[in-house]
Amino acid sequence: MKLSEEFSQSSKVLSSKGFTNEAKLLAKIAQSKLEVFVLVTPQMEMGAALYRSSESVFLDKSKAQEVIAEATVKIMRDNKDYLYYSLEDANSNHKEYSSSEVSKKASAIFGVKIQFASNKFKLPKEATDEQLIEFAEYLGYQPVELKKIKLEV
Amino acid sequence: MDTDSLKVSADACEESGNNHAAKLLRELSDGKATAYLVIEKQSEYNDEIFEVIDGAPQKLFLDRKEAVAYAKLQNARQYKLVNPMLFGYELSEITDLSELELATRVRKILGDENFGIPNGEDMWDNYEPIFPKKATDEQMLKIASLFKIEFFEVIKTKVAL
Repeated sequence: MKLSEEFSQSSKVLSSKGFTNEAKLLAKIAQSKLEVFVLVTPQMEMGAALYRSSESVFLDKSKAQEVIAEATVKIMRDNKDYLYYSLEDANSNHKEYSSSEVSKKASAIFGVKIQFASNKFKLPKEATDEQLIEFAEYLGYQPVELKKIKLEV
Repeated sequence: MDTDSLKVSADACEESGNNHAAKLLRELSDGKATAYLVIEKQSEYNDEIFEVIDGAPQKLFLDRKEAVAYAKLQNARQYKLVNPMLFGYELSEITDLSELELATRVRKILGDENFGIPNGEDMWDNYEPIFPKKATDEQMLKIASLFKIEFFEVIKTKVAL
């Protein structure tokens, strides 16, 4: 029996026993319609080309998004350079911010005055995860992204 | 879906003789489910040659053999779109064969005694694809096997709920 046939049959068995979610999962797999989420890192200097950054895939998009948020914060904290944001960082993501706009928004997010100096915004080291994520979202900074692909059987 | 209901579902599948489905559900429940990602690599020109670098995931397969077969076919088709000679400084970086042996084997695969492969200095001067558009998948699979450059790869990956 082909794998897809077995999954289809299993789906019917589970459905008849009331395991609705598991039955739906197997039915989607059987039809190669199950979408999964892979974490990838955009290769910034090449635009559309993508680097993979994770060897894990997720069935649940919200779980994948949680992992992305954690990864974003980790990257921002690990790399000291990322505690300094240039206006170019923001505007490379198709934003049209002025330095005063970013300073004002960053100051509101971090609760301290964020200065624009030497073409950079320096973020406080004691920033919380939530503050870093909010600032990253504002800038459109996405060091890790999700790519949706299909699971084939 | 929680881990307990996945385990009970796995038992139900096993009881009905659906062992693959049971295995998948059980592995998902234990956080040990694996699958195989097919990655399409990207090419980057470094002002001298093209280099194949990491790329984007294209498809995910439960079965490794299926993933490898898909990657091989896509790889073979990619050879029809490029001049593979542009992917190395030396012929030895592209193939283990000599110029003569490579040309002989490609001609035999294509059934075309006159087919010419760029060699010598010409190797790096041709940016157009070199293999005929009408070449079949079967022919391109054989041709791709003569070269070292892989445009697609398969990696094992964990599947999380």
